[in-house]
Amino acid sequence: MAFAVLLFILLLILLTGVPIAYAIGGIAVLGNQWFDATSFTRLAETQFSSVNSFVIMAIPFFILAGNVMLKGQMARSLFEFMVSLTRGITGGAAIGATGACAIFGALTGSSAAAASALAPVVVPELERHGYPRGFACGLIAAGGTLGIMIPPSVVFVVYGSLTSTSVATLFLAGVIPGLFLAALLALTSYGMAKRYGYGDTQPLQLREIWRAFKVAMPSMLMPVVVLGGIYSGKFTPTEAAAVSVVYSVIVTKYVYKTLKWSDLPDIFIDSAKSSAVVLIILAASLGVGLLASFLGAADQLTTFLISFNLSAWQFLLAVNVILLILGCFFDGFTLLVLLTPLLLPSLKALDISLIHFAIILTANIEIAAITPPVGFNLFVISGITKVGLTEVARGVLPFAITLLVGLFILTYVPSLSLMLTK
Amino acid sequence: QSNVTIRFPVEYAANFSAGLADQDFVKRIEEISKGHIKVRFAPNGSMYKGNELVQAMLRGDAEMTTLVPAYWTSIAPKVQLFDLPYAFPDYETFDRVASNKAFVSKVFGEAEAKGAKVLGLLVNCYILPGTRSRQLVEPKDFSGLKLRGVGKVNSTTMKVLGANAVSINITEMPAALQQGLVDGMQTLMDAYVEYKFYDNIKYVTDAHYQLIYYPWTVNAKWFNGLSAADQALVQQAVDDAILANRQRVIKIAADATNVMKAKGVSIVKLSAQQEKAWQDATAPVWKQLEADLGKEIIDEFKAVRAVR
Amino acid sequence: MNREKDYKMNDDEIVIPRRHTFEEWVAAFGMFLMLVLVCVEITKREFFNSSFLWSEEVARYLMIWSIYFGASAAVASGSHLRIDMLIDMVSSRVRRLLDIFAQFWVCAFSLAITYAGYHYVEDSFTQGFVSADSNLPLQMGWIQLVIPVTFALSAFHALRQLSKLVATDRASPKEI
Ligand code: NA
Ligand code: NA
Repeated sequence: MAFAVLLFILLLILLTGVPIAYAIGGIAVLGNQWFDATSFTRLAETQFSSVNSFVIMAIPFFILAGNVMLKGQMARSLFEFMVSLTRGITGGAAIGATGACAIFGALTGSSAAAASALAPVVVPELERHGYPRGFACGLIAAGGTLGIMIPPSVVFVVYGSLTSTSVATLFLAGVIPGLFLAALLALTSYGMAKRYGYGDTQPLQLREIWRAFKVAMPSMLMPVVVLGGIYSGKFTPTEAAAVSVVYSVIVTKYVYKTLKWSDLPDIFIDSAKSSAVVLIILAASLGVGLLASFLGAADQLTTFLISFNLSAWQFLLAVNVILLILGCFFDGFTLLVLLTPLLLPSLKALDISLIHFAIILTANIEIAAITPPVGFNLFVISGITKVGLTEVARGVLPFAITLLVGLFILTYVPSLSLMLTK
Repeated sequence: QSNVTIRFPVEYAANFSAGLADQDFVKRIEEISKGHIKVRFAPNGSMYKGNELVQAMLRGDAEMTTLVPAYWTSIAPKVQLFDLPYAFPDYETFDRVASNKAFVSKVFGEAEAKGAKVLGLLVNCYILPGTRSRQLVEPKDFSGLKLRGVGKVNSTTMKVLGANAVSINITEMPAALQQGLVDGMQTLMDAYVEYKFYDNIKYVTDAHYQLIYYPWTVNAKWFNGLSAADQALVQQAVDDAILANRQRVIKIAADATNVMKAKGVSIVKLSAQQEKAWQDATAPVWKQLEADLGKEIIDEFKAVRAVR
Repeated sequence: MNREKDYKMNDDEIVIPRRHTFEEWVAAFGMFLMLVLVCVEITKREFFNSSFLWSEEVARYLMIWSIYFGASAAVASGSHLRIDMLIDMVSSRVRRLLDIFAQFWVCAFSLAITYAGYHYVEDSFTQGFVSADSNLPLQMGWIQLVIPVTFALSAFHALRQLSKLVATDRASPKEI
């Protein structure tokens, strides 16, 4: 109860525009002093030890690789290849764009990285093919979120370190749900193109496919190297993230020749700051997490839930509803780091697979990234394309509903998540 | 008589063998103190992890902990003595050394100087090397293997045997084994079962080169501030919990061994001669540590071990 | 993630080279070194079947340094993630007050952690803490020093922005 009050105060502080990490950290300090939980020194220690983890190191590397790919314009070749394959069918360019999102998702670990890399290329192209601007923006905003479900994924890295679950196993679990959601998004694109007469169709040209394939090839090989490396035992997920940086530098510098060495200092500085901005939220949340465990919040929540005699499916329904609501206002990363430790004992008590729950949580974080008012991908797309936030939000609606349907299927068909990990 | 609360965080799970001993202590102390000494037991590293436990206890954020000695070596290098290969070839040797309070105090002297107090050594079992595809019978079998190391001295031991100790997060181990990122690991028999390592480990060798124990430590300033009667109660409960633990861990290990066998894992038994060969092969590690810690303490350790 | 604030994405504009701060360089250099270290480790293990025991640990410490110098730089450039839904809706007068509150909060929290961090580091030095993970002959206090140092820097940046905000004329609230 005391902890619920603290979370409520935190929400108020967040709404006043205090940076998220500092709001969380400040609440940890105040709560710690109020409840006399531990020494003041401990607060500095948590800042250090919460990020003192080799697993977490994957996050800066994925962000770095994402920025190299962005600067080196790796998204274009993927999009052109996918469209060369799908342009014969109704909604071909949109379906191709979804495919490009899925492949790009396998290259990068975050949904903002995927959305920001694809948007500058794909949105104008879709418009040229006769799709409304809002639709194009919405599609990329939603498609970009595949970046955290299809491995590699920073969400799985953090979840793995919070729950002591193997990151490699989580990556594997994300493959089918990721492809499944991609298929649903493609289906929605197809349905909308058919119904509203969006887009054009062009005859398939084998020569064009081959040309586009040759250009896209080096990019598409990256997941083979990175994920292949993880599953063949060449390296750990963290090392794979480092390899993806090197790989994307080599491809953009020597194959596409879109990257200059002189770009690198800016890329490194930008990536270091972006990583810092994300990871300091993780660091601050440990303080609140410790307070939660000092106050017995997670156990109380479990007792509370058990008192309702919730079965696993009812519990998951309740969690989904809560996450969807919170996801409108919080960014997914904050939800992930604050709620995972809180829910962990309940998951164990109800015997819900931690792998399956990772997929459910990730799907919720995907949706949170595209639901207004606080939807990170909406901001990214609007910022890059200069299309108004409202238009992007309206365009994303059908795709948000699609992901919602996907979420419920993933929640109640656990085998989709667990199939590959068995 | 004023009430006393002991904050007692540990890193491992409550149902792990050392966790059971801790819970046994909690039960005993609350019983013999008739409830005026209470314990806030926090397992699973929920409050502190690794080195933080050491610092939290020294700082007074926690009164008590039982922690793998590896973390103590970072402020008390002499603790490495007990990690030396075949430091304790059998439980009797361990008991002899553990009961020599003066020597234990000397080994943990640097930790005690910094505000810790060792109430006892909670013994567990030997860590056993387990491999995916190669039986470890002779020292040369280690050659070229990549194994998960446990602490500095252990890593040196692996190196001396021709293997490579790599550091991998325990949660990544099942995947790392499955994919062949490492060839094997070293852990307690019940941990092999707990983490289902039997899915990927084919052979476990019942070697006795490193006996795992947890120094049972308290914040000295807090302990010295207790009444003499309370001090005696805490010491009594620790001693009793350690004693009861001894029987339990042997049974736990035996049960785990049976589970491993049932899962199709081969348990390799070493003959006295083979074990001697391992001991000889790892002897250089003693020399190496001598360079760090000085000959005197090593000799004293050898003498304490030998006293009958 | 805060790219839009640091870069102009439009190619037509003349790109004026950004002046990078000292903290940004430390953060970037830490990131670069940790990348090099992890790559060297992979190479060593794959091709030479050997491993530095300390490399994982040093890479971790580099990350921590990179994170906290990056975070301090982000305080200076106002690029931390925050929820701006409400503050975008209110009047500029209220907005200015909320901005003052936010900077005050960041400053106060940073000072608190600077103070706590000072004791954290002091403890480590008095206890003579060295690495528990490898043979690295390094006092942990030196690594942990990043906490009080960068939080002091953050407090300084927040204070500077706070003073700017307070000094700004009410009629023309400036973007921070
Ligand atoms: Na991904
Ligand atoms: Na949202």
